[in-house]
Amino acid sequence: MLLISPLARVLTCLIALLLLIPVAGIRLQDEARLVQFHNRNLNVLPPPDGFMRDPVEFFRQAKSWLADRAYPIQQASLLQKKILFHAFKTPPQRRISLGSDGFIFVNGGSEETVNGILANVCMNSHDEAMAAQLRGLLPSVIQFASSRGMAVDVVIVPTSMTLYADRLPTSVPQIYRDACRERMQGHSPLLTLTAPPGLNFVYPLQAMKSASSDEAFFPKGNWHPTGMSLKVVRDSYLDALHVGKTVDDRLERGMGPSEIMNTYGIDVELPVYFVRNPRVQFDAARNATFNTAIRERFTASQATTRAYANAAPLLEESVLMLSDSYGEFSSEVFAGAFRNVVQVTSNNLSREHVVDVVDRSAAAFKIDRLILLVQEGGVGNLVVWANAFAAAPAMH
Amino acid sequence: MVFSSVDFLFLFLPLFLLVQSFVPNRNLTFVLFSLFFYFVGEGWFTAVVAASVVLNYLFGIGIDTRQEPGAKKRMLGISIAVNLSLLLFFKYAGFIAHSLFGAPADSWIMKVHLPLGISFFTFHAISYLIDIYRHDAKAERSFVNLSLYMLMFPQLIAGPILRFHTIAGQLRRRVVTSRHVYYGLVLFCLGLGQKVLIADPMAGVADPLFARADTLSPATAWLAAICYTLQIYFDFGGYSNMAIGLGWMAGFHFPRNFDFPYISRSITEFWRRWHMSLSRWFRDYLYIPLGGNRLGPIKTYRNLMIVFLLCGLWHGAAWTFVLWGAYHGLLLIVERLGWEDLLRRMPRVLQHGYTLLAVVVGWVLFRASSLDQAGLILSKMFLLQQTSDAAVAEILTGEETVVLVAGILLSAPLAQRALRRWIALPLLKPWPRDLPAYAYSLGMAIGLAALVASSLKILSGAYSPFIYFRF
Repeated sequence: MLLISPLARVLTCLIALLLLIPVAGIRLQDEARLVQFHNRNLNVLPPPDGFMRDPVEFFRQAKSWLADRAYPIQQASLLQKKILFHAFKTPPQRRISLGSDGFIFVNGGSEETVNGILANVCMNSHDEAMAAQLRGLLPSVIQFASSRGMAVDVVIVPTSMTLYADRLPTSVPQIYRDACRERMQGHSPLLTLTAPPGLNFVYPLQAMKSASSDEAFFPKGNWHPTGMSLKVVRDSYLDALHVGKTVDDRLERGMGPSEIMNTYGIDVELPVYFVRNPRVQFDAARNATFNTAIRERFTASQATTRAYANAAPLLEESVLMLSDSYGEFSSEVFAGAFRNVVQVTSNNLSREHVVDVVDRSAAAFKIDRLILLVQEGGVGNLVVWANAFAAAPAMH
Repeated sequence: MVFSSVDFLFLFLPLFLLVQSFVPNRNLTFVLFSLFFYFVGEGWFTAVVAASVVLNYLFGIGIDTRQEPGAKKRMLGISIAVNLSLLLFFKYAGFIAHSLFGAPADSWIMKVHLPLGISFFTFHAISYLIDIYRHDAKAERSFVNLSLYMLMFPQLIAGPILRFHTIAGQLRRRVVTSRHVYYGLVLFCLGLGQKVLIADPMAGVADPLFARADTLSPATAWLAAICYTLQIYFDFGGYSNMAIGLGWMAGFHFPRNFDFPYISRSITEFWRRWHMSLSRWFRDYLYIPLGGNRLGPIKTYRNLMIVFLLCGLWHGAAWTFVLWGAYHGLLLIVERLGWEDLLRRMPRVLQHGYTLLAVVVGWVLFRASSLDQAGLILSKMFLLQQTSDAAVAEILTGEETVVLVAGILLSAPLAQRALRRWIALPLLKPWPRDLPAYAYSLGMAIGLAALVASSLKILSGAYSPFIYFRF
């Protein structure tokens, strides 16, 4: 027999109702926003017939369904990460590290490979064998482009990890910090790589280092360079092309949110430069044509593309920029020099379709120049593309 | 289902509380909820625990109704043998077959599923049978009541271990007042906080370090050992507090399971403060029947070693647990041989230092995945192997550093002693009656703060390992 006092009963009910909020609030959740929040498909309720077959699995799936949708999961996660960041100076994930002077670094692509990006950026891409392999493939790249009537260049953009290696925190394993410092000090086979005639190879580490003392040069809380750093990359590239003129754009200093922390919903405002060039406009029609021409070659037909037109270019050329996500930020700044720039991000593109994407682009527009642009950890991607180009049939 | 999961905290528990408040026949509903709790995690293996209840119900009546002492004893022997056979088969058959007969890893015996909490419900069953045999309690004629004793979900998978005679009365009649609900809720919330806010972050440090034992430096090996020391205390202690709190809210008074064990000044004292319900069970149902300390020093040492070898084995079917048990048994014997007397004459700081060192070394044996790994970590801790590794500051995040310090401070009863005049803390028994109203408000505020902070972490899907699978 259990005797419960009336007050105990009221208290118990209040507690129960309070605890039921996360489940009762599931009805308030927007599934589309939850998908975006989790960055994956949501777990679905298991079919009832699965219960008899494997009840443990049935309940595991049901629990996953619940855990994905409990209210307010998004707000709770955000608040927790904010508290960790502001109160304990703890990054929202292990793959993020908080450096000195307000620098924020992305060490890895996932929690399974917390230092994977560091390894690529500071070690693998600067491996002598890797550089030699790339160098050996460049003639094939030239041949591939010239058979399609294009010039071709390679641009490797240094990251904040090599530019500001001395700001990496001690939580980053010593081996990576040492490797990044070595790159910062100018030890890399990429700096001495001599491209064959017909291709400009640009790795503007020294130029970027020289400008890097400006605190807004490479936004401290970003993975991607913007503004001043991209202007330096572009101008280094134009120097390699011996253009002899400079793009008439200007830098405007301001404050912008940290790109890395923004993905976790944490507001951190940092100094940043914006490149202002009124002659460069986003070309929506060209972008639509470009995207339609190539998208079926991408996973789930999702191609990230951009197109810019310039009313007063330095060079009367149309450029195709095949790049990683660094190209999404670079293309507008590069468009300051060219008549047209179309850019495509290769993240959802498999190796066997690289050549076809270039050919489809060339079929859609006249392409004068192909720029292969990657962040410094993407030298391996360049090798993959170069191998694909080397294997492609020539076109006359 | 674990207490620190979305499904338990925000669905199962509130529904249970509502049903307990309004639906009559509360023992039956409690049993049904407990069966469901077990079924969610173990599926059809719930039949094992259900069969155990049925068998022990019959065994209990069998022992109780036999008049002749010899027949009573035989019945007890058979019933204990059946219970131990179940435990032996599900928990130790693979270990024995592999260790003694070299059974390959893919043989059927190595794949026998270990039903969750089997060590706990088997010990409950044995306690029930022995208490009847000793006339400490009468056989429970209500099948529902016995089911509730053996299956009660708050203590089903991680204790505390209940001795039947201490709870038999509460199975038949219990009272829940607002003070039960208040203290139960606050204790549950604090236990949840111990588990989610302290133990889990410490697991986040210890687990990867133990996983890469070969690359640890002396400093990081110590960090791994210390973080695990905090993890297991706050995990197990937190889980016990949650169970006790839930018990209070349902009118049960479960025994205290942890009493600040890391402030002990000897291993003997440590075992009076660590997993107290298990120590009491071994004392009452094994150590004393073996003769305890009544048969002279040699047999006392033998009894201690038997108890601790079995205590180690109870925690898991692996040689690391056997070694851990033997290690503690040996330390207790050494203390009895005179080391404890010597200790008492030493400064307190040395007494604490010795005990903590011995406990931490023990936890390395306990946590290691193999004897080799345990040896490797210990050799690094004691500078027998030097490998360079990241500095401790490089491994700990800001949160983990704060939790590490908080864990060390909360391992001692400093906060409890400082706050008990102003806050109605649930750890004090008997509950004081002369506290002002604000003391309850403050206690509730602290409990709710722990609940909200823990919920934030749980909802965010923070790392939360479950360490009772092997128990």
